[in-house]
Amino acid sequence: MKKKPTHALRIENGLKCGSAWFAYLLLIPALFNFFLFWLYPNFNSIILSFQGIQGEWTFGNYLFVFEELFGSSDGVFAIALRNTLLFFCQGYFITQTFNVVLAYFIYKKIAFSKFFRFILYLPNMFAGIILVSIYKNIIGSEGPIITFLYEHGLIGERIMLLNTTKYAIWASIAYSLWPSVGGVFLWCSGAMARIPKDLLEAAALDGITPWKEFIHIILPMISGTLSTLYIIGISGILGSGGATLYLTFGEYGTTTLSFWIFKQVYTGGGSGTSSALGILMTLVTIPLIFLVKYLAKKVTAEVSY
Amino acid sequence: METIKYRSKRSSRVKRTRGERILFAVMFVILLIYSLTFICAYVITFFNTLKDPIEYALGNTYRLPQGEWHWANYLEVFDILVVNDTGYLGMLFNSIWETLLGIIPTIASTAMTSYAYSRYKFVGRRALYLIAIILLTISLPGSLPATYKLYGDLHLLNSPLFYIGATAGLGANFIVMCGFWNSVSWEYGEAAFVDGAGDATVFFRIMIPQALPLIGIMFLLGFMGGWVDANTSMLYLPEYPTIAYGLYQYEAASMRALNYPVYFAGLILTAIPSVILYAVFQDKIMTSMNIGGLKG
Repeated sequence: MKKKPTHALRIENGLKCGSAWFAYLLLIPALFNFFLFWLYPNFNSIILSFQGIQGEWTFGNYLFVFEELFGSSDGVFAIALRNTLLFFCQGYFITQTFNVVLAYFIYKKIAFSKFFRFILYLPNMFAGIILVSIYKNIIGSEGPIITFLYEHGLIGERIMLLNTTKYAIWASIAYSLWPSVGGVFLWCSGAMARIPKDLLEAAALDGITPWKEFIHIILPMISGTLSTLYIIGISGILGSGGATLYLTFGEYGTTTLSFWIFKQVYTGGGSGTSSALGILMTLVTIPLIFLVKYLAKKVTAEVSY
Repeated sequence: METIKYRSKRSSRVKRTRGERILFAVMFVILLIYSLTFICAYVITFFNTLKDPIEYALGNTYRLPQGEWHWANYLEVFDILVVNDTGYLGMLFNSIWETLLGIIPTIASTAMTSYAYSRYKFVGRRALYLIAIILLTISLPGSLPATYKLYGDLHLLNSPLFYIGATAGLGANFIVMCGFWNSVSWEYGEAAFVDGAGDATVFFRIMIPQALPLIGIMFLLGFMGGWVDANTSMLYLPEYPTIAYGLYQYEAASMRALNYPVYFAGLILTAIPSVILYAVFQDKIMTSMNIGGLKG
């Protein structure tokens, strides 16, 4: 015998009414996590940023950060900021754009598209240390690149690129450029896969060129995904840092802001200074996020399919 | 003017114009060269695993092994790669349980939170979405010291209980799953409610089974991400080194005494599980994830 529902079923705009208790029950783990492991530490980091080593109240952490940032061009934070921005530009403008374009060509089934997709996304399956070790071997002083340059007289001596202040940051950025197919490619591929085939077939019958198809159909159709990715991307502007940990551990002028914070925690260094730096980074980032969000809203097409 | 013709009704592949063919050919060459950089790097690394350590140390870092191929290097991984008194098999075991504990609670929490948001009317619903957007878009790198301090204060460092912190349900996957739940019809659920089923029954027995393919992809991506993650183990669980952290630590600690061929063999063995998973599920992975736009 069927059980009778205990109360009338009421659904408004696809939302079930009268069972809020069940919704709250489902939210418990996420809210527990949010309050304890996100909100509390972030609130606490504000307090830490105003505390000295002995726990005394001070503005010293902020003064130190400002002094290192703007006091001289070779201050640790000035170098870290420069490197961070270099990594950000590489990731946000070059890598991200390449990923979108690549997703399009794979979507359009360029010859051997499955092969390219497999090989180019494969590095994401490796631990950072694996690819870094491979890279270090390739660009090492006895590796194929340096050997080729040396044996052909293009360089006078075998250089250790990652152990030389002059080259280390550029070798680090080159590494970040190398395995550059990642999340953006994945999300864009997913978005492109959802574009109705009929639409593209109709455009093809009208003789649309790949460029026009990309600009006038593909980009508008995935603009929601793209805007999200660019907003998330800008939020990481001051957290950019490539594989500094594995490549150089921040030595030879390669440290970044986020790596400096990580290193402080890892080596048990001053949490006050790193908290102050982190808060300043966040304060700088928030207006940028809103700006990109505003711009994204302006250019994002309203499409549903 | 004929520009495009369909080859057949069955196939959606089109004949490309001359300009298109040139564009695709140029891109093909670029991608081929780009792919070859990876393939060559992998091949060189593989051959490096078969060399004598002295041969490598004397400068043969990219040519074929001279003389005998040392397949035994793969066995030596299990003897030589020891970090914090944990051998390779121990690190393998740590990688498995740490990865699973890191992703299962997160995915479960995400599925529950997104379902509640997408399917129920409750006070604070909009605030929940706002929190998700804030978490997704605002990066707070400065909280790392405070977070580390919190785990220390709660005695969660170097403890499997560390993973009670892995219940975050409001990240990017929350947005993805909300999109999924919104696309699932209420019909089966409504029918079940009318038949007397409760909210939990509908969620666990009707809705979750429909979401299993997406949850499976999230699990796969999470597993592959967790498998390659060294930072969590390095910072919070150094006494339970994972393979990724172990390799890093082994390389950093060994410096000049590093047995590179064995180390490279360890790298290859570590990469195998996630590469197999990726090879099998790449089609699903590439087409299942969709985040869409952010509202609000």
